[in-house]
Amino acid sequence: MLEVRNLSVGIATPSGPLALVEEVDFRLEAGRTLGIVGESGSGKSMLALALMGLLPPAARASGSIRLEGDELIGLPEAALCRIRGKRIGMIFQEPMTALNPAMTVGEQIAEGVQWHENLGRRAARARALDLLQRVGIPEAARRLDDYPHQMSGGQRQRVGIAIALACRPRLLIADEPTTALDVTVQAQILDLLRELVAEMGMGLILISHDLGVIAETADDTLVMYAGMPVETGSSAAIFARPAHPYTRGLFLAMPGHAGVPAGAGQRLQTIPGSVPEPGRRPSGCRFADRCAYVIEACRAAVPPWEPLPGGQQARCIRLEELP
Amino acid sequence: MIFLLLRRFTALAITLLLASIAIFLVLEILPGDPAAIMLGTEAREDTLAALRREMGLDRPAYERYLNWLGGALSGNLGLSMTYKVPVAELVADRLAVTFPLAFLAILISTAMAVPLGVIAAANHERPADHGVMLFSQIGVAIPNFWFGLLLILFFSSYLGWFSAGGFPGWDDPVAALKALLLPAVALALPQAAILARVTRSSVLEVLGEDFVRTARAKGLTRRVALRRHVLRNALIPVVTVMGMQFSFLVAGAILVENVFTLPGLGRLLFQAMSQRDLVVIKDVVLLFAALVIVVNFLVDLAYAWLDPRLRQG
Repeated sequence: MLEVRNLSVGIATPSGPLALVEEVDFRLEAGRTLGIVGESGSGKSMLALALMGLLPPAARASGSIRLEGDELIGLPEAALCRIRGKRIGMIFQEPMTALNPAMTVGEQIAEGVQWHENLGRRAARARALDLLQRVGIPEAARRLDDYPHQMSGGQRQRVGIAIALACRPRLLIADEPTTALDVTVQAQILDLLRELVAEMGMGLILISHDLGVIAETADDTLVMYAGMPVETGSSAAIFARPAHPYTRGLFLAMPGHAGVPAGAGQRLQTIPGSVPEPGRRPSGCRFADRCAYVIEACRAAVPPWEPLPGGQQARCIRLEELP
Repeated sequence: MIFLLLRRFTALAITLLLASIAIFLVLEILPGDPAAIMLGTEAREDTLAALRREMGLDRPAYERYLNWLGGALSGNLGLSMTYKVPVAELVADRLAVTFPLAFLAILISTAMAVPLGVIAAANHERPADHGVMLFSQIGVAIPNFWFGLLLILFFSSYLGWFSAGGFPGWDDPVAALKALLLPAVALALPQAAILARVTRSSVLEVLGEDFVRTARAKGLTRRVALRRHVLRNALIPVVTVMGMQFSFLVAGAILVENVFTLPGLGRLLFQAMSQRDLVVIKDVVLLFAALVIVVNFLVDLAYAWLDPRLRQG
């Protein structure tokens, strides 16, 4: 349903073009969930905006994004406006700021429907009510005319989901949808997303820095580091045997997961350093400066994808030598 | 909402009361005996005393204040010392000039500034934006009375399209509006320049908000997202500045009415000051203060209309 090939995002700067996201490839089938994981600065959000065609003015995407066979890269703005909201829905990170404070939630949900489907006010309002019930807002009929500030964070994120789903898109992109929420609310929102994907049969791209969120929800996982994918495969395989040193580092920094004793008093490991900014990334393997297993050859060229059993792949030339 | 209105209304009444006390006290402290001013330096002591009694100046200050306030509340503003007519009549005639002038100036200023600011923001860092900023820079720098003189020179003296001043009265509304147009433009330009800047920066700020991205993710075009989601949210600072500008407008009217010899409140106040007509000064200043306070009350109400978060009070 969605096929992304060699997608890169670059930005023009006074000192020449700068790559923000490089060489992203993945496929997503309807009814499945792809988790994209990485630290902040790994280019996850930029990737999501590229899929939406909503990059900042100075940024350009190249490569190929095919949605149900239609190429999105290079489409004129007017054509993208007909796709956004209609065939691709997006859920944002901050439910507190992602809704217009001066418009009722009902109007905000109905707006996309009116825009894409030329529905009248009453019909669009009826759809909004239906969606509000569907995302689990109690007494939806009464809440339809509420303003965002009259709702809790979790409820607002449910409204955000209703907005994204309003036109029954084939593809849903959720960029850190639970990061700003309380843990209990996080679980509810993830449950809701899983339910909706199963029910409506759309493809979901779930972006998160939280491996736990990805583990619970995603069928497949793509690990991003410094603008580039470093490991991909089924979530089951990656969570059982993380291959890339960066992915392993992420797991070791997470309490109670594969290879990390969950017991109290255990020290969590950290990955030394931080994600390099675009323009300061090493020329070979992007992770070379922070990797414990780095050798000279790592810096020579970007490592090719190394296949592993079960369709898992990692971009590391030392996979076989790693402990 | 009703609670909010009630609270704002109480605040309005209290502010007005404080303003009246301040005005009364300032004029009380000011040196100069109104009776002496009216009768001249040669006046005899017993004539002066008689006049003071007649004007109520022999009574204690608080009593005179309460009389004044009570009179103002019932529409009786006292007699002008120089014109010997009720101030209420004087003011009513002048208001018929100043109020439409101020209204026209606000109209022109808003009609210029808001579209210009929005255009500048929508074309951020492009020629249209630079053009608006240049206009704004010049507009801010020009004093309105001087700009008024320029307008008279060009449109009245050179082109002959307008009369150079004066006011024909409202019997002929077209002529009246025509007489008010140039002074209103002179008043509006510096305000429009500031307002355009405020609108621009406010729209730019709201354009960067997450909910605008949400609107674009629904498929709305830039223009529709701007109209439906940005404008209303960007108006709060604009309305705030409009409210603050109103007091400058009133102050500006004093100058501009003199440049254009319009028989308005500003000119009345100016004349009353040169003639030390304390009764008129007191009443007109109170009226100006009331206008400014009422306008800011309206601004508060506009907030509640614009932003539902402010409706709870």
